[in-house]
Amino acid sequence: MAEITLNHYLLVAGFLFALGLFGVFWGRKNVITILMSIELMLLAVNINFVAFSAFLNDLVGQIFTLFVLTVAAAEAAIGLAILVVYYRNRGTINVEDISVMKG
Amino acid sequence: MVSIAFFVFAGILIASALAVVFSRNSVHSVLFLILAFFNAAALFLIAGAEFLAMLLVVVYVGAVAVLFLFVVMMMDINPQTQPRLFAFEQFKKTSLDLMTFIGYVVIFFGLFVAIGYGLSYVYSVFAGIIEQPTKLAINEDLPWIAQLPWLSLLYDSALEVRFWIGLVAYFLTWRLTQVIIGSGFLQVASRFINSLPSLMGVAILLIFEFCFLVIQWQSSSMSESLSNSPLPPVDLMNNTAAIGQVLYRDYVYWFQGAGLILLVAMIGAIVLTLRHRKSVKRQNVSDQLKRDPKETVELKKIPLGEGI
Repeated sequence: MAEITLNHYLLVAGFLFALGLFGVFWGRKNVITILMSIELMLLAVNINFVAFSAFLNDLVGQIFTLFVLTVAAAEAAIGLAILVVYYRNRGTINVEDISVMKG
Repeated sequence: MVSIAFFVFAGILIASALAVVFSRNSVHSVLFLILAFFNAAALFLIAGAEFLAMLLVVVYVGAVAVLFLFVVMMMDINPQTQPRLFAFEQFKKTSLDLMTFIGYVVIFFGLFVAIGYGLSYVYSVFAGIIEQPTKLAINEDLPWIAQLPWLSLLYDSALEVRFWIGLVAYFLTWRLTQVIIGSGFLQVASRFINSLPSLMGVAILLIFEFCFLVIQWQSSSMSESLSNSPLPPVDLMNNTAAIGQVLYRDYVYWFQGAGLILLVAMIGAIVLTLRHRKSVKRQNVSDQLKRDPKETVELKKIPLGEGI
């Protein structure tokens, strides 16, 4: 394994993405774990873009990573704001309790 | 040397990502997320994207992860409703969950490979593609794992056939794995398995799809000429300057759009979480400006020797 090829980066990113997806479904009764798994997925996508940009000699991958980063930060902020307001009104952030869509 | 660094950072990245998902304490999860971001930034550095690596550290770790930490600390997140165990028993429980996950993955992988190959072999024999597996022409350029004769069957058949074979194989594998693991062979694991919604098989399947994709990946010879903005050599300008050259010329509208997204997010977060407390005295500027000077001062005539 003398050289790091594109495949290594893709494997890492792929595994990270699947792990994040797994975390979203298996969010430990805790909405924050789900939000963090979404961040993991976005990180995996960023690794993918940067790896392709490095190995295919194209800067566009890194530019797009910038935008993905921006959107991820914005979405994390809004998601956490919703969570905070929900916690204020309900007093709990159990995933099972949130499934009641009334009131 | 570089490969050692790559494997160290990638290993810690994957380990901390696993810890984010599987750790029972939310604060630990956030801290492991921060560790994951740092290691991803190191991977970016190895790939040569130094601006993005520092951006990851400053924005992701410095802002987003700290925001997560704030929210986690602010909320009274109940730890798991099970009673607190001693540390070693807690470790055994957590590692048991992890091992059942890994065991599930291994069994699923083995079964999926076996069933998929079996189905595609049966299909190929019936479709007359091959007569015997040893007569396949094997592409020598692929890594050794892709040169297994039955594996190349999956790649040589048409895409649609592969899709249907994969779908049937996935369904069979899912059911078989449930039967195998839930049958009492790994009795404690059945608790884990029964709590999995079937959609999570998608996540596990994704891992192996990615692995197959990676094994088969080959860059075309045209890719050099197709690049939109080639990376300049390092001694000409560094990565940050190169990104600046491309970003502010070709993608300036996207850049402004990203700024708009951030503006909208800021407004949204403020609108959602702002609340006025009744006990805090605030200035009402419009009321102050609407004040009529004639009404503010009142002249009272006071006779000598009396008060108001």
